[in-house]
Amino acid sequence: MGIRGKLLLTSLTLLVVPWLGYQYILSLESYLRTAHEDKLIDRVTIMAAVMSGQQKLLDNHVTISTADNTQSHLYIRSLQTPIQLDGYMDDWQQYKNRERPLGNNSGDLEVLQRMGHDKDFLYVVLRIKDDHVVYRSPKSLRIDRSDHLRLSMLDNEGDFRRYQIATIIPGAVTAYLMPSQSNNHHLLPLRPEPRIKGEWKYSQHGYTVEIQIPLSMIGNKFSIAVADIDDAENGDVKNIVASGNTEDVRALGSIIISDPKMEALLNQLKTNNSRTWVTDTDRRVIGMAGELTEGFDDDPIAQQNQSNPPPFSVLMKLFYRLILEQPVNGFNDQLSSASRLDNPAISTALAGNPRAYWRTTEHRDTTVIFVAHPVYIDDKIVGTIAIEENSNSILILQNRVIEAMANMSILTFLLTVGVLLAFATRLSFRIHRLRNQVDASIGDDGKIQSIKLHTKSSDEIGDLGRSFASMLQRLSQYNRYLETMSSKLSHELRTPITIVRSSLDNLDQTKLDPQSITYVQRANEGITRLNSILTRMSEATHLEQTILHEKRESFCVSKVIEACVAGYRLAYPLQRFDYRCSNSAQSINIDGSPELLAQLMDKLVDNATDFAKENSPITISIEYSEDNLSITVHNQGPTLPAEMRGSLFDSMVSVRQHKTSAPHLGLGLYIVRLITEFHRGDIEVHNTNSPDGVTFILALPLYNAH
Amino acid sequence: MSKRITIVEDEEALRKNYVEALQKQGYEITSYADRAAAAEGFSQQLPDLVLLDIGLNDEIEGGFELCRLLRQQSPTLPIIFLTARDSDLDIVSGLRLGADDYLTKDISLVNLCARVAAFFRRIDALQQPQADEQQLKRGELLLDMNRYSVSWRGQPLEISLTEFWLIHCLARHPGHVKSREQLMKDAHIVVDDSTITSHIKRVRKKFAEIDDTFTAIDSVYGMGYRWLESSS
Repeated sequence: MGIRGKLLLTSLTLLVVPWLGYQYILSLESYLRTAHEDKLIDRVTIMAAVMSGQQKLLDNHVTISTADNTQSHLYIRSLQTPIQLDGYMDDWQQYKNRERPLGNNSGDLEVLQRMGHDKDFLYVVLRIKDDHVVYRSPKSLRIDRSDHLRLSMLDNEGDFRRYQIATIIPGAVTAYLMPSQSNNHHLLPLRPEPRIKGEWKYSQHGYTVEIQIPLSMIGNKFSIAVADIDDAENGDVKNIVASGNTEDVRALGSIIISDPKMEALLNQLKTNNSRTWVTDTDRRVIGMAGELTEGFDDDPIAQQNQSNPPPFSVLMKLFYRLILEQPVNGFNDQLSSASRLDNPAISTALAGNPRAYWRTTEHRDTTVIFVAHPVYIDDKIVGTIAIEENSNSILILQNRVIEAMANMSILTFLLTVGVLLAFATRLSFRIHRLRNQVDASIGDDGKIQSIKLHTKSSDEIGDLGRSFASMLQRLSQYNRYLETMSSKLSHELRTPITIVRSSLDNLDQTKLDPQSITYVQRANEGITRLNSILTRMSEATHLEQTILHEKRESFCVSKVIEACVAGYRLAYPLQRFDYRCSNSAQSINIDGSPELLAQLMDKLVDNATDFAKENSPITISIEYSEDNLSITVHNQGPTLPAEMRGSLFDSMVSVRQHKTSAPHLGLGLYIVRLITEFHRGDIEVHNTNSPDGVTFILALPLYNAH
Repeated sequence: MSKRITIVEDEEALRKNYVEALQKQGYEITSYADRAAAAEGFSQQLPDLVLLDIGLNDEIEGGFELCRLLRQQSPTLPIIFLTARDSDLDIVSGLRLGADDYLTKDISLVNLCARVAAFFRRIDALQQPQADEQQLKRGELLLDMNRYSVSWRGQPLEISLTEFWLIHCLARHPGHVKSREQLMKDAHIVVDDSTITSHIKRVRKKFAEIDDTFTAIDSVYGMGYRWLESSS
C-alpha cells in the first residue's frame, strides 16, 4: 500500500465527525423535546386550574362514570355551515375528516357516519355499503322486514325512546316510534315521529341516509344502528352495524353535544396550532377546541429548492430516508373526530399526574405531542384536560440540521480526502522522482554519473534529497580518490624508491665481496619490479590525460584489429588466435583514436591470454549491425563470479585468484572502460557455457563515420 | 677543466646520491635544496648543465620557475628535468619552457650518467666540424650521432635527447617493428606505454612542422612502431 492508500485510510477517521454531530443532534433533539414538553405541561397545568373553576360547565357534561371504556360515546361537533336535508353529500364535503365507521363492520355491511349539530338539530349522514338493498313492502305495516335504521335515546326526561326508519322507496323517510321493550323489535311501530326527518338516497354501493333530529329530543344517551335484511319474507337480520346497543337502555351509548361555552373557554385558553381536549374520567370527550394544522410553514426558499432538486440532493434525501428516524406510516390520525381518547397520557393524567405523549400521524414528518393533566374539583379527579400540538418543527429542524451537517461533513470529508489525495500524490510523486534521480545517479556499472537531485524544497523530502546528494557527492569523491589513488601512490612512492635505487647504484660494486654483490643484485631486481608496478599504476592516470587531449580521426576498425591480431600472434607465439570479420563490418570507419583502440585490444587480449585454457583459441570477431560495430573477444576458461560483473571495469578491481608473475592492480579493464567511453561505446562482459568462458563485447556507435 | 653541474633537488638523500654518483664521473657538482638558494647561486655563476626537480619543498612548480629564469640568462644552457612527476602535462610543460630533456626519477644512475655524458658529448660535438662517418642517413632523414641532432630534408629538428634516441632506434633498422619496450630501453627511459605513445606523437608533430606529408613513423597496432623508408 502506497502513501496515498495509507493517508486515505487514515482520513477515514474523519468519519467520526459526522457521527459526533449526529450524536450531538440527537441529544439536542431530546433537549428540545423535553423543553417542549415542559412548556406544554406548564400550560396544561394552568388550563386545568382554570377548568377546575368551571364546575358548572363541567357538571353539564360529566356523565356518570360507568367505568366501562368499551361503552360507545359520541361527541357531536358543531357545524359551521347549514345542512340541506337532501341525501346528497355536497354540504358534508368540508366535514370529510369527521367521517368514521359507525361501528365494527358486520359481514359485507359497512357504514360510515358523519355527524354535526347546529343550534337546534343533530344531523347524521350515514353512507351504507350494502350489496342488496331491501325496501319495505308497501303492503306490510312492519318496518323490521326490510333494511332499516334504529335510533335509541334517552330523552330529556330520561325516558327511553326507540325509533326505526325504513322506506318503500328512496326519498323522504319517516321515523316511527317503537315500543320501548327491549329485545322485541318484531313489533309494529306505535306511531310516526314527524320531528325526526330524513332523506334516503340510492347510492352506487348501497344507500345514503341523512337524518335531522331536534336537539330537544335527545338527552345524554344516544345510539344508532343499521340493520341489513336480505330476505323480506322472514325478516331475519343478516348483519347489523351500530354505534351502541340500541335495544338495552343500560347499554345505550352516551352522547355529548358540543357546548359553545366550553368551546369558547377552550378557545380562549389554547394557542394557535394547538388543540385542546376535555375528557371525563371515562376518557369520553366532553369538550374540544381547535384544529391541528396539517403541515408546517416551510420557508419558501427550501420549497423552491425542493421543486427542482439537484440529483445530489435527491440521492441524499434517499440516503436520509434510510438513516434518519422517519415517522412511521399507517398511523391514522382520526383524532379530530374522536369521541373517546385512549392514550398513555390520559391514563396517567387520570391517575393524577400530568404526562406528555408523543405520537406520529399518517402525515410524514409530523409528530404530535399530547399533554394531559387531571382536572380536580374538590380534590377529586373529574376528568382530564389535554393539549395537543404539532411538534413536527422539532423533527424537521433536527432533520434539516442533520442533513445540512451531513452535507457539510460529506463535502468536508470529500474535500479533505481530495486534498489528502492530492497531497499524497504530490508526496509520492516527489519521492518517486527522488528515487528515480538517485537510481539514475548511479549507472549500471556502479559509477556515479551525475548528481542532479531536486533539493530546493525546505521540507523533509528536500532534506532527504540533500542528504542523498551529499552522500552521492561523498561517494563520488571517494570513488575519485580510489581512481586517483594509484597515481598519487606511484607519485609518492617514486621518490623513496629512487633514493633506494640511487643508493644501490652508488655502491661501488668492485669493492664488494661476491655475497654482497648478490644481495645488491636482488635488491635491484626488487626495485625494478617495484618500478614496473608504479609504472602500471600511473598508466591509467596518464591515459586519462591522454584522452583529454586526444584528437579524433576517422579510421577503419577492421584494419586496426587485423593488425593487432597479427601483432598478438607474434607476441604470444604459444597462443592460438581466431579472427573473424563479417563482410558488413569490413572497411567500416569510426571516429576515434586507432592507438587507443589498439591499447584497448591489448588489455582485452592480455586479460584473455591470462585466463585462457591451455590449447584453446582466443576468438576475436567483428560484426556490424544497426549502426553498431561490435568487437568480441572470447576466451575459454574460468567464468566470472556474478557479483563482480558490475564493478569489473572499475579502478583497482581484480578477480584474479592465482598469483601471476606480472603484477595486477585491476587497472587494465579500467583502461578499457576509459577508452570505450572515449569512443562513446559500451563494454559488456558475459559468461558463456559449454565450454565455460568469458566474452567481452565492445559496442561502438558510428556517430559521424562515413 | 671538469664540467660543472648544478643539481636542484629538495630530497636530501637523493640529492647526495646524485652528487656522489656524478662526482665519481669527474664532474664538479653544486647542489641546492630550494628555489631561492638555487636562484641566488645561478645569479652568480651558471654551470655547464642543470638537473632540476620540479616540486621544490612547498613550491610545487619551483623547478619550472627556475627553468624560466635560467633560459632568460642563457638560451643554450642544457637543462634536464629530473622529477617524480611523470604526467604528460608536466613533460610537455617542461619541454615548452625550454628544457632539453625530461627524465623521471626511476631512471637508474647509470642511465643518468650516460645521458649527462651524452649531453656533454653533444655540446662538444657542436663545436667540432661535422664528421660524416658518425651520420646515419635514411632517405630524407639525417641523424648526427655525435651531436644528437636530426634533420629532415636538410632542416634541423628541435628535439630532446630522448626523442633523438627514439628516432635513432626506429631509423637504424627501417621496416623492423620496434616494440615499446625496445624503444624505452634504447631511449634509456622507464615509462609506461601511453607515455611512449605521447613521445612518438610529439616526434611526428615535429617532423610534420617541416613536412606535412610525413608518414615515415608507422604505428603497428598491437606491436609497436617502425620506420618506413619508402615514405615521401
